[in-house]
Amino acid sequence: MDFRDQIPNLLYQGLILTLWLSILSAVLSLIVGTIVGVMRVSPFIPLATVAQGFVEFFRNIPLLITIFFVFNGLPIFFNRFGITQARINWELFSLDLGGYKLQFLNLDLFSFFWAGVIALVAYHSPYVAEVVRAALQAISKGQMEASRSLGFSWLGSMRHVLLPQAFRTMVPPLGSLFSALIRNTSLCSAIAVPELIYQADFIEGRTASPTIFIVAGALYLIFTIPLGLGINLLERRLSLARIRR
Amino acid sequence: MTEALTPAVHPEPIPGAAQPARRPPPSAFGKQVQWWQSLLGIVVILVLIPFIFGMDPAKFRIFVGIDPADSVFKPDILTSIWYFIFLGIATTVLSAAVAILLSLPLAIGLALGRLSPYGWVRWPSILYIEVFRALPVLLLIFFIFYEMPANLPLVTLVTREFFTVTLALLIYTAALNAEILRAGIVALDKGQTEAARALGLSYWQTMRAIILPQTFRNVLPTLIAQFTTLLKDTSLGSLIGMVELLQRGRIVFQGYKNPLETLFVIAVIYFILNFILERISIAIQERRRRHARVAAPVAPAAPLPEHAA
Repeated sequence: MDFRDQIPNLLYQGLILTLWLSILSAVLSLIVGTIVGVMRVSPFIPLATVAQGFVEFFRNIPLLITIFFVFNGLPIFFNRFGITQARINWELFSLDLGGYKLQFLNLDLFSFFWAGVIALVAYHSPYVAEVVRAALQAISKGQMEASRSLGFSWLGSMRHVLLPQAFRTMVPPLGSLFSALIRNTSLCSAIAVPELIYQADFIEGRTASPTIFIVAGALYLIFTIPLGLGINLLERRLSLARIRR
Repeated sequence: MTEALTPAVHPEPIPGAAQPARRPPPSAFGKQVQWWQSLLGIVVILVLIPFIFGMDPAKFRIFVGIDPADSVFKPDILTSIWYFIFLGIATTVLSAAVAILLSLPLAIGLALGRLSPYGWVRWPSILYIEVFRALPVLLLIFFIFYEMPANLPLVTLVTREFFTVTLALLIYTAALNAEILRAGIVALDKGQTEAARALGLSYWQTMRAIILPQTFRNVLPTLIAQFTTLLKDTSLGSLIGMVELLQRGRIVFQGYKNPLETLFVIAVIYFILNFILERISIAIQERRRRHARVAAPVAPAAPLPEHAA
């Protein structure tokens, strides 16, 4: 079979994997980042200090180091607790998408895919935390005082009163952050996660023609440019809503 | 009578009188983290990471000059390993500095082009900025690396990999710097341009003498933040074999079989470099804020991370 016939298939698989990496790490870093951001403004000083250290450290080291570190460190971490590769059947987690069965989750226990996701979350959640913190600090003091005097606990007023208000102002900065996250998934090719750049590099090695990188770039643009435009629109809508109110 | 009743929106400063510091609106979480507190937090994290991953203290010994073979302190091991790492720091900083300095002329052109009233200037600038902002840097690096002619005259001066990474970062950061500069130009008072044009300066004279100097002054903190981004992005060079800081770390841990410990040390070096630059950027902003009395030209807020690594 000619290799050229396989190129669309390879690119499709790479694209699907890039999307899964992006979606999973976006959702997880939103969760982790919100928790860290709330910790960062908590009145309990040790918690705020640790959160601050987390944000400062992981924001200032390259993503590639985080990826290599998690890739090398996760097996060691799990081995400390006696978890070896035989325990978990990752077959359960594999995905069947229109005939293409994704095999990335049953490579082995500490599969490269999850190392990539964890590293992406560790790198992006500090940025999310900073956005959450800025949004929370922009809310007027009276909101917290009012909800506390109505009988909410600190966490309860955070969850029911302050965070819902904060998420509105967070949408535009988070959008550009997730656009960066989609591009940053390309670094997972360094630990042999077969996503778009990895497949493009592989195809380039077989065909010796760099045009495949232009195709891969166009595929990235299909996702990142509409995201940017959508964020611009949303920003305009949200600010208009605030003026009308 | 009415003057006394309606408070002035921007009260004029009384010469000689102490001005009250401008307070932000009361927030539910007003208190800022002190610098010692964030330093303490970082120390806690730096202790926690080796603890969580169960790093072996013995494997750190190479970095204080103790020979892992016979556990004896040897000064030449200490100097040679840190000299080896220092060369990586120099390569990283040089690549990032060359990229950001050479990108500035292009960025000025793109920023002015995007603000231009002529469509044939504006649309190519918009296209360049939007496309290169939205592409992964790794893709640019691979493309340039594979597409580059075998014997460029420049490449004999620096290595092929250094040239590739610096060029890719230059192309990428020009798009981002153009957006930073555009925000800075837009944030300036329109009266500056109008006054300069009314005095008879041409468009280019206005830009060169009036607008760009003020813009650069205002966006300097943001440009420093962009430089830290580039410092992190140069680590992508290790994927095509550029011998910079991360690649030197990988060479070290392949020799001494201590991947986690070496990566941790390299990460701390990157962290120190970026943390110092970040503090400088914050200090400049703070000083501006203190010196600005009334209606200061506010520097545009730092853009969110629009970068690769």
